[in-house]
Amino acid sequence: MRRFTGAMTALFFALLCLLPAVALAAPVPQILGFKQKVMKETDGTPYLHCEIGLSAAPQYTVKGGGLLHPKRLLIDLTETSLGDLDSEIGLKGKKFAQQLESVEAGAHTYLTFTTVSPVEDGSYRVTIAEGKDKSQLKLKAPVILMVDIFDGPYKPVDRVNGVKDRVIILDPGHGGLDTGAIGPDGLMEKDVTLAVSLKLRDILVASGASVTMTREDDRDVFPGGAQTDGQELQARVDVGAAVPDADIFVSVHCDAFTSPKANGTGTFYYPKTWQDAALAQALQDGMVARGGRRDRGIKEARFYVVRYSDMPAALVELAFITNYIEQAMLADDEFQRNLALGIAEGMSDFFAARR
Amino acid sequence: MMGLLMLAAGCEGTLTPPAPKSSGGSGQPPTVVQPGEKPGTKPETPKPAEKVTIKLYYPDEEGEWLVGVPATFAAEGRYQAAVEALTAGTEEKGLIGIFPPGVKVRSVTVKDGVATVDFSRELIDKFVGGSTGEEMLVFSLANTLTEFPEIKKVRITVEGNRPDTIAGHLDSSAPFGRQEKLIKKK
Repeated sequence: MRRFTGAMTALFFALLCLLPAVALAAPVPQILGFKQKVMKETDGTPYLHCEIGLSAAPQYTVKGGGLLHPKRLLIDLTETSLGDLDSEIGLKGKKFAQQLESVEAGAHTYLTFTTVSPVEDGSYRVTIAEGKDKSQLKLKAPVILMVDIFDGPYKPVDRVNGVKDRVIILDPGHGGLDTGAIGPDGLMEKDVTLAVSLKLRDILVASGASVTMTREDDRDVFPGGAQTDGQELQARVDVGAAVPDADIFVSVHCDAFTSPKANGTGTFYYPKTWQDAALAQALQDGMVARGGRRDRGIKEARFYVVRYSDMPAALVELAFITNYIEQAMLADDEFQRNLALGIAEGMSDFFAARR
Repeated sequence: MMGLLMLAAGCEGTLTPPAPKSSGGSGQPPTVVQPGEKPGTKPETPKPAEKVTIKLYYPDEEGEWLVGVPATFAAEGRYQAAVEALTAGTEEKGLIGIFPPGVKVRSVTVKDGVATVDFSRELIDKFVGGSTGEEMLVFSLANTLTEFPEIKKVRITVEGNRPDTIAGHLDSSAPFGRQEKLIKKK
């Protein structure tokens, strides 16, 4: 099959060489129509989706942002006719862009989008789709130029393989009245564990997993606040126990120590089954690979939530909140994203090995 | 539930009259040596006037290992003295005291191989916490007290009550045994 395709390609190029006059006489692309709609990414992020229908594929360049016109996105279509497109089109979705101006000058057609947010990497997307039925808005044209405009830089949620249809319990450590450990500049463990857990949840859900969290905001899990640590920790275990067919329980924490020198990433487990250590090691490897902090390894410990969860469980320690450098890192959005991705990749590896 | 726990703690701890051979730190002789008994046949019950040397286990600054530092105590009141030395911290280079400032050792009682150490509330209220912090605190105590051959396990109480955890991670409902894995090998 591959050989056949190769032969066809060679034949095609040979014909092109024989018929240069035909190639030069290709029709000038002409704009045939315009449609727009506010749409959503799979993670829920909204954007304005614009489609410009063309009779043929144009050459084009995109210029955006800069000091003079930070909110202008210019698409320069070479050798393209404006057709009967309106010179000014008002745009839907007040968050994204206000209007599209179109001008034909020389052999070029210039499309200028006036955006609401400054144009920068990730705040827009320009693509060309050729062929039948490529339009998402039922625009009839053989070629569609698609322009997507976001209300700021859009970072798609990371995804991992191998967690589809897995049932995962996430436990952001501490919360509510229990701040967890506090860093030298006042950073609270409960806030970091929640931020990383929410990012981790988004990755897992985007990857097809089913995720249940013991808490999704700043609160005690035991209703009204527990009288004892045991009640609070048991409430977290109970969340996992109530989910049928739950595969794993992962508790997210920041480590702390009396000396500010202690640093690095570690994972604790209780050896109920052989799978507990395997899960801990996979999560640990994922965090170290993405976070880049010192590898403190995995440790067996009689930690309440991993001991009493009726499924493979691990308690991850992202880094030390009592260490000056790591406290700053734990507060950083990018570091939090990396750790969340590392944990998700660890889960992926764990499930792959268990299959 | 809490009442039950307190009751249970009381039964094993302060309410039980200390058995002569296992009391420590309360001013009473820790053991009764029968006249004529040969010294050395029961090394776990030294005479009141004797001295015992054990290792106090302090964590290193990285929170990775416990390191033993030899210390000698009078046999009489040796349990309390050892725990008080541990909570006072250390001047040894590279090691730290893990117990929070201001914590007091209210009592140490030993029964059936289990030492029950009762601390003041600063143990929990003033502790920096952390999984590593909690683990190092618990096993610096457990490894130190199990240096005494007659002690196999260590239970922590706070002002007479059994805490579920010291810092929110480690299940403290049952006594802790010695953790050789945490001790730094030379």
